[in-house]
Amino acid sequence: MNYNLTVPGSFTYKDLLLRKLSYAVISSVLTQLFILFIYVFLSNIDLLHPIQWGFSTLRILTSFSTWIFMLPFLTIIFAQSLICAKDYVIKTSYCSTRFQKFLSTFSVHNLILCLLHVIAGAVLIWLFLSISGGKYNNLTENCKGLVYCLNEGAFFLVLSGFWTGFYFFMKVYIAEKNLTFPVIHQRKFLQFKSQLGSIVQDSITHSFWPSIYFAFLYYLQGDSWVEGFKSIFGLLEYEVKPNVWIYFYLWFFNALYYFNMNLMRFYFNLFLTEPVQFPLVKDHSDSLTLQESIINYEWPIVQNLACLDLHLLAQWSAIRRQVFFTLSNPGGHPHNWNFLVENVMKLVKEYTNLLNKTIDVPEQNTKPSIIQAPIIQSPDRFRNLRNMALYDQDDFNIIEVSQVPAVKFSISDNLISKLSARLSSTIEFVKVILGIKFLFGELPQANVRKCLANGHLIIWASQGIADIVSFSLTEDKFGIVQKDLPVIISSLVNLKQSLEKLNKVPALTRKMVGYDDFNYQMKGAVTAAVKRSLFNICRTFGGYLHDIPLNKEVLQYLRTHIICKS
Amino acid sequence: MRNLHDFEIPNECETALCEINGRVHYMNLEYANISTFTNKIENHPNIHITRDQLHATTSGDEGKALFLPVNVSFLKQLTQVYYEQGPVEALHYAKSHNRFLISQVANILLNAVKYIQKVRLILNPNITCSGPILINNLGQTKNWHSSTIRYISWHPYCTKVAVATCDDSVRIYSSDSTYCPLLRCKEQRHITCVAWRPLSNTEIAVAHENGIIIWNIDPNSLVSRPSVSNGIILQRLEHRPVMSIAWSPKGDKLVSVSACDNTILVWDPELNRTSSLKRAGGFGNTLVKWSPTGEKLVTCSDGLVFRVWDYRNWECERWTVLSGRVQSACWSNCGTTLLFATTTEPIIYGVIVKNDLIFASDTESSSKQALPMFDTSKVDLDGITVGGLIQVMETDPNGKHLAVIFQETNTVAVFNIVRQPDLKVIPSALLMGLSEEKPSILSFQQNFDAGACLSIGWSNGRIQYYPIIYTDLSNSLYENPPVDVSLYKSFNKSLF
Repeated sequence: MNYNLTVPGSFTYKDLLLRKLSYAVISSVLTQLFILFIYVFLSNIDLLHPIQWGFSTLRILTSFSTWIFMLPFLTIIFAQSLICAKDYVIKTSYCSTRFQKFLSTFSVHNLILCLLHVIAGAVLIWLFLSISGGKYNNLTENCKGLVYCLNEGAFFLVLSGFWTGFYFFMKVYIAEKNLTFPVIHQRKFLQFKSQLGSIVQDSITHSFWPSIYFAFLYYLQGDSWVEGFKSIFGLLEYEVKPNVWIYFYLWFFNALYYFNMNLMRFYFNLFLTEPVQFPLVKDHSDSLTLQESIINYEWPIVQNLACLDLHLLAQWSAIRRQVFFTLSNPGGHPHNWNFLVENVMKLVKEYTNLLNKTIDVPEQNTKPSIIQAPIIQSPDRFRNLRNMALYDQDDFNIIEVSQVPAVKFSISDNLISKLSARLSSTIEFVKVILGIKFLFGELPQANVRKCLANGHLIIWASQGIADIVSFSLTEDKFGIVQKDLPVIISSLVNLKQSLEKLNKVPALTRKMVGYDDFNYQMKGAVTAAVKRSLFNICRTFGGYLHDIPLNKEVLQYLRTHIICKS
Repeated sequence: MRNLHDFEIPNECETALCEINGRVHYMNLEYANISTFTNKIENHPNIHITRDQLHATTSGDEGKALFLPVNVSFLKQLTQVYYEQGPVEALHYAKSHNRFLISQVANILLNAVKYIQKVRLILNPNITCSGPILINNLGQTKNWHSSTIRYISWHPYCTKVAVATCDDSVRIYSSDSTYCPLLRCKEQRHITCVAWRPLSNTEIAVAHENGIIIWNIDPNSLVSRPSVSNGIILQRLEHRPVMSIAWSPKGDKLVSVSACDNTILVWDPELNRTSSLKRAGGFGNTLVKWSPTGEKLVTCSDGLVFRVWDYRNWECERWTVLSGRVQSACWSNCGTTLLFATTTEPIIYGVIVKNDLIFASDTESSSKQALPMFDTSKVDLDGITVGGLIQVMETDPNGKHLAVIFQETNTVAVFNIVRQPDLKVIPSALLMGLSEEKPSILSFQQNFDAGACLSIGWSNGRIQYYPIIYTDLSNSLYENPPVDVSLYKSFNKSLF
């Protein structure tokens, strides 16, 4: 299906997000079921009697007890994905101080999620053990007649589930919650296929260390846990002790848990980053439009998708581009275009301001005048005329000399300022000593990080607007875009200049952070995208550039930095 | 089907120099001077890379010969071998140790490595060969191993050409200055392909055996050896040797293929992220080319399959050849026609790639067939052997001319492409080098306003230009120039 040809219907952001999230949640739950079936099928392996093998698998899967067992697990997974879903779509608050970070980590939301992760870990292992049968299928064994004994192997594995759940939540979930947009948007199944291998590999390698840690912990503390459990439930010691293979079971189940969780994250990523076609004209008051969504800071994912859609439509869809180049029917105003350019410029300007603020550059009060004032040279014949208008001002320049102000005794001012300086330095000192600064002080470059985390918005929006502008040369019959050319070029140049200042931020240089740092890479990506956008516009309008009323500095900048021709 | 007998044969010792308004001009090889006919290329850089201009390639072992071997302890020696030659060599060294336990452990590990290698070989036979051998066998450049010039790439917007040479460096020549930057670094070994980044004046991607390096050359600085620290190094462990790369028309994505990996990678270069295109067929890929309109992409595998991808949704159309593999392919006719040649038949084939909805499914529709366009079987024309299997072919940016290098013979054939009523390939001229010169690679200039300018890299390091010029060129951007509607004056008058 070519999605550029389909006409998008109108929808609100709730429809959009609910649709995407429900797909993600449903596929997570279904995949868990599927994995369970596969596991049961493989664990009952009986190559000599294939029919029996099939039947026994079927019997297990259709038995009532299996479904009773499965129910709690699926409920937990459902609840977990439902709560996680919220994390992916709501606005992430950037914590500028360590204390804020600390508080946000211990929010109720996170505690519930942590609990769910921990329970899911244990339930998963318990479920897989009990459904597949085998040596560890039950926590208790019938031994010595009617007395129950503790099956230590099963106990060990279920306990490890709690640990892995906790470990995964702390190590992976808290740290890496952001969505990554794929470089190209293929069909979902193909993306799944190409990612599956790396997810499996990741899960196996990443679950190795938590398994080791748990084995070590159990070695230290295991006896007391076993004793405690036995005394609570009145169980006896079981003679059959687990052998060395239990460690492989441990690793296997941990990897399985990691795989399940990674898969859930993958589904959220897959469905949420799928491109959406936004309507370009408003249908009714609730419906979303592309232009509005570009500055929808409340729902970052909607904003990202809108910018992506702008980028794609600018590149591919002549029909949708045409919507911007049309005039409204009564009135003949380019409403669609105005709305778009207004919002894109707003996005770009806000980003530029945020950047300037973070790099501690005093904000320019005098905005560069976009339209260059015509240079009128006074003709020679008016040279001898006096400018009468100016003479009046002399009246106000008379200086009052009769009352000389008395010299004030200013020692108190001096003292106060000195005292306050001393006081503030003492407070600073106390702050450092008590660690107040450490906890409540602004984290270095927190704002820059926040800026760069939103880099994709600028990458897509700037390239999108540049593409539309360059296509306008041949497609825009009414010359709608031309009136905004100077504004677009100037704001992009301003943005580019602000981005260049980032090179001076020491925390973003390659020497400090290395090639793999996200912020370093994103800085490069945003700068390159803005540069390409400007180049695109300059190249298309190359012959006309001198005629567009641009500020001299902007023009000079374009010549030296973008076109690179002296 | 037409064949090579249709070519006009130049007189003895003469070669085609240029084509002006459809007429090919010949001149004696010894006194060839193109300025007698045209001054359109008089500013073009004069490139002849002789052996003494090449830098010596270092393998890293030179320093070793200066030092006498000394007796150091086993552990120290082992660490040295490990750091210098890698873990496998270290195991080999450990195996030769006289202590039984160490040698046995090393032996067992070596055996394990051997079996893993065998399994990998079954999965992908290409990894038996080393990088340079694969590049030589599967690449576009003729005699890649021995040729001085390995790749030529023209800048999309200015008269600037990047030439990759056998000393693992890329030299950049431009028409307006004598300043010639040299791109060279330790990581860049065995260059296969070079591509300028669109919508940028300064960036160039160099594909080499182990990955891709994107250099950023600041034209305002006069440093003759730009540093790689301003560039981006892209590599993936499995993805080697990189055979061919292509930038998306907007310059935001880079596609690369490699001989030992059948996954095609699409890079976001700045973020160092990839998406992979993976389909069955072949053990690796040899060529990737973007259509001039940017809507489609062709990739050729080292097996029977080649694919045409749609850039919007990344669905592909699967094509198979009867035998061998596709050796070379190029786009023509505004990206709707694909010309290709295989390794087994001396025939230029043409495929009409339809637009849009054909990409709805992954299946090959049986009604479509590649049309044989021109028979290039080896013929003898007055003592000159011409033709044979095709090594590389290229079309000019307007899709009007086709140039072909053959695998066994040393003439370059230039064709005209006619689109109306059907697509046809018409012989135009045969180009010959000096004695002992063999053509290695060819490329068309991207911004030649006067027509098309073919550049041929000969094996001895000389680059020859073959301009095809139309003096009555009425190439207007607008078919109907816009009326006075613009706010600004210059918009209202056409620049052409």
